[in-house]
Amino acid sequence: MKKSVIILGKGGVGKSSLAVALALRASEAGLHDRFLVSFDPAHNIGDILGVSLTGKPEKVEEGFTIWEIDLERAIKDYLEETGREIRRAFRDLSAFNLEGYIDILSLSPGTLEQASYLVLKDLLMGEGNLLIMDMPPTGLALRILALPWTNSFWLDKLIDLRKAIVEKRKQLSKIEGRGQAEDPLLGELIKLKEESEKTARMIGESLLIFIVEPEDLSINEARRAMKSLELLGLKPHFYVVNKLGRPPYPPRSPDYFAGIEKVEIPWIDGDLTRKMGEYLTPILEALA
Amino acid sequence: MNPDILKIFSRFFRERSTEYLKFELRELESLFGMLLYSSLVGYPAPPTFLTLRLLPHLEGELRAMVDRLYREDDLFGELTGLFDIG
Repeated sequence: MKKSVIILGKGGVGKSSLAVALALRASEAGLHDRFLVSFDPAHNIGDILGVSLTGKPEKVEEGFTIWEIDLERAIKDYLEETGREIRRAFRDLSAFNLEGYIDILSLSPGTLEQASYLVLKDLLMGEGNLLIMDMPPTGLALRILALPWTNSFWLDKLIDLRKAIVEKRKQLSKIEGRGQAEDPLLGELIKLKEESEKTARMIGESLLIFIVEPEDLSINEARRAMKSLELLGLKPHFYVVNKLGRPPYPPRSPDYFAGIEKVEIPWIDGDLTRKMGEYLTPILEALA
Repeated sequence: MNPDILKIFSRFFRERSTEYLKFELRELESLFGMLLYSSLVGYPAPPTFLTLRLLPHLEGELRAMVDRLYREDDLFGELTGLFDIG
């Protein structure tokens, strides 16, 4: 069965380094077909591994593929596909041409999240042994992860209302003595709901890792993020404390991490991803 | 008696009886459209993805919604018409 790992954390705390270190060591745990994907607009996996990436999946070694998603491309693909669907449905819209507006539409609220979500959904449903997802900084990552739940919430209400409409139509056609055609919209709504639920389930089944630095800002952000995750019924499986030892570790023990396994990584000088990997044994054991 | 007259009578009564149902259906359809395309009137909208995905199926609902907006000025008139008042 495919395993997925989702890495969350504040910008700059070491998400990408952790993702690379984990991917490099994962073959030890018998996960030979590894796919590392970065959703972070500030890509740096290529820099960490010292390879130049092109926005397409690339094989760096046998059984290890990395992909720094070109989010602008993903947004464009999503909007173009939507444009095609609208044109297909409304053939008389000869003047309808979305292409000229894609630049401005890509700045619309929610577009980036939706485009990222569609990529994430395909990745979760895709093939492979191990999928490691290096997420963008917390705020954006949470909005992307929440989408299947948000969609489900809306779809629930819409399905209820739609059923009432279909029921009324049925009564009417009965009185008027004519047959009742299937409602294609209700079918579409139910299909979308199932799709959202499946994605939510797959996110729930992923190994969620929250990485923090031993300093207040990143730990406070983690606390807020955990509240948001809780709303979705999600809880990280690990929290990784990175760069231990450089600044003093806060004396307060963060109790909102209670019940979550801790992995500590000291401040590392040079050859970061190899040395970081040495501390990741508990995560690998969880994956094996 | 002419059977045609009977048919006309029966159609007339059937239409009267479905009028309320049709009104209710139109209202529900308009509400459905409103929920999905609430950004048209300034309410927070559901995820754009949903509204765009469902748009091709919603010609009737959008029509009901726009019709209702036109009738909004004379909603009282419509109700009095429906209940045969005045």
